[in-house]
Amino acid sequence: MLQCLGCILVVFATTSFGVSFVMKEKFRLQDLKEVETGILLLQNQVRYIGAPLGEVMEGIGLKLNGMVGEIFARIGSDLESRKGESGSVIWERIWMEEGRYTYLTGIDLDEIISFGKTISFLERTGQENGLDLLLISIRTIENDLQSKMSKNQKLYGSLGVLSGLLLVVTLL
Amino acid sequence: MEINIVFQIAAVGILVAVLNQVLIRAGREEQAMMTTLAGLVVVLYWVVEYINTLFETVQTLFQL
Repeated sequence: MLQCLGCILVVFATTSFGVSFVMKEKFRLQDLKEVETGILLLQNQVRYIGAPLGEVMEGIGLKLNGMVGEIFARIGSDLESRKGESGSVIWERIWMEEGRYTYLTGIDLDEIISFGKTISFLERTGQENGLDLLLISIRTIENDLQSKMSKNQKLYGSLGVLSGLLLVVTLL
Repeated sequence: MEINIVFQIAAVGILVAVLNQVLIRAGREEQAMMTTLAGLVVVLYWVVEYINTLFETVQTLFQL
């Protein structure tokens, strides 16, 4: 009876491990979509309204969900506090500090941080071009991720179950 | 020697074969090979004791 319970626990644990890999990719996709929404909102603000960047970032932070929203809000509040740091330094610092609490990988964060160099340095057209470039990179990553996700979902699920069974047979 | 060892080896063989196929279909040939090698090592670990006993028995039997 106890052996049976142990076997079930081992298989459940390894299956959950496999499923957690799939969920990690799902949450990464969600975070990327939030960043894409934030960048689109920023693009509209830069293109049509031209409000101060700090105010814009805080507004975007309120509209977005999760950690990405908090990052945008923090960037906005740091810009508003006017401590002498430039926009690009604030953008880079906060994404490097808080980015590790999101599901975004190093590649995603590199793309987002490199956009920061266009903030507060270039004129409006340059910033719009920078935003367009970032949107293209994010959408490319999202498309790649979505096509890999459906394949990986089945793979990690079955790998989890099979490795659990293998462990059970080996240890019994 | 218990009969259970035979069933265990058979189960490991089947599971390793299925894992191998799943990994190859997913394009991960290296991981598939590693899984096969791991299964082989595990089974050899179980069997080496019996092989040792076999050699000792042969030595004793033929007084070598």
